[in-house]
Amino acid sequence: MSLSTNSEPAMQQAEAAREPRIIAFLCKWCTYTGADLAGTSRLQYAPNVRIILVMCSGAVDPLYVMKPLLEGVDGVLVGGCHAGDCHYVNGNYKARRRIALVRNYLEQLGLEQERVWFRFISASEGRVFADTVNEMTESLRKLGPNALAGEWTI
Amino acid sequence: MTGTARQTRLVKTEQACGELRAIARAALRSGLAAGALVSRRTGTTVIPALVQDPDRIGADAYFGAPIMPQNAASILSDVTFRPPKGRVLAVLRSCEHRALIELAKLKQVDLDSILVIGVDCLGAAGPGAAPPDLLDQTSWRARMAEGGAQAWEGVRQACGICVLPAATAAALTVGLIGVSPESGVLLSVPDDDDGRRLLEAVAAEDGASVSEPGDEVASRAAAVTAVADQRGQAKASAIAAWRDSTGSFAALSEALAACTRCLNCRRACPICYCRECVFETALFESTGDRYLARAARKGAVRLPAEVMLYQLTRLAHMGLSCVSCGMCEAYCPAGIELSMLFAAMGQDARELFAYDPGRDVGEALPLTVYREDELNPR
Repeated sequence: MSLSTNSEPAMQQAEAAREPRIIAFLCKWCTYTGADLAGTSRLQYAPNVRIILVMCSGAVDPLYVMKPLLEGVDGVLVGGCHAGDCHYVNGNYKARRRIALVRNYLEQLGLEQERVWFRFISASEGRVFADTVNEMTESLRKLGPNALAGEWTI
Repeated sequence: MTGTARQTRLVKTEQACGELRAIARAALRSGLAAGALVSRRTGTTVIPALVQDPDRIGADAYFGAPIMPQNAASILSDVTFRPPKGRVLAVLRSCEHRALIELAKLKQVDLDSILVIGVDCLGAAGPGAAPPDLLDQTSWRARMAEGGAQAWEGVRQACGICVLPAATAAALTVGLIGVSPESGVLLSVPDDDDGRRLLEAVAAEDGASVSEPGDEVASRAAAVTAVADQRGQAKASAIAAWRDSTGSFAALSEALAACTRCLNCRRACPICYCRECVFETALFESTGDRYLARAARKGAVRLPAEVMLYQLTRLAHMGLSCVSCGMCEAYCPAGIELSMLFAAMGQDARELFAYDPGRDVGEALPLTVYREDELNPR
């Protein structure tokens, strides 16, 4: 049996049929609270996202964005406060540069830029959060599964 | 420094290749520096050493040596992290001075404690026994005078694509490329009290003379430009070749096949300054069950795990500040072409922020600052 999973047709099919998986890093003060509002408002949105609470989008090291993608997750969403609203003054602006850097590196190696999303979503924007997750899920579905899911050497 | 008036003089000593030693002794005697970082020549290599007594700067002191067991910026970080009372003189090639500037931005060195003499460099051998003709100062100076972009035998690959062979804009600079050893060396100093004091002290050294330069300035400038141009072309084609052969996840994982994540590259790196790298922490300790779960997910898990993540994280953490000194590659026991990884992938990322590491100490590290009207979202 080959070690390479993507040489096996059955697994390949399973991969293609697989629903997109998203890891989201949401800041405590805005986007996480927005996600909470989406929940308490009983908004329905795609169940494809797994949320990780962080204190600030500026606390998301590039390491944590790259790790899930190398593991085969289909997309990573980072959510922070709107421009000028960061609880820690400017963490969201710094996150924006870091995300741009990560996207640049991953794209140079052939990973689609659309797998990394960065959005400013406030605590009152439960609807925006739900829509963002739906949009991202749809976009990743179109993009197809992350090819790195089958790369055991990575 | 840059912008202020400078004067350039030809320094010549009776003793062959003694000019840099005379300049260092003069700096110590005149009180401009309290100590000097010296490369002491042994039978096979050079050992960095701090010398305080000018009379101990003898024939074994090999300033600007084309042998680089370490990036001197790492050593200077050690010496000045808790600053000494006087300044330490250090003769630095471009990649060492630029690393020093990046370390200053990271608050890992005290620039006020260092008197930098920038020196021309056409390439340097790494750790281990150096080729005999690089250990010989006379033959080294003859080669520097000759110039030429062709990499010398025994010199590291990173040097072959270095586009900054000339001394950087340091307080003091010494020009060697295209300057015949019979003429001496071109010493450039600021036109201020310190500069004049140094020139006087150099002239007072035994067997040393200071004079107005002739056509040496022009011949050096021409030789430096020729080297930089040719190496620029070599660099562009090396990067293009790397992208073709290694610029994908599959190909890069092949190139990293022998990586054991020993972290030598990060220890040798002058920019990687963390006391404890995140890859040394419990974050990357796993359990047997977790390994099995990962193996189940992808069909197999590469061991040791996370070598790709490690290199990408290094790129993200210090890649923007990489000065292409090639120490990572020199210390890689698996012979992985790390300098090409950082040259190729780093170049694109540095362009994103129009950042040139080591260009200017006043220029902020890209990830510590921001503009409101850039990138997305807004």
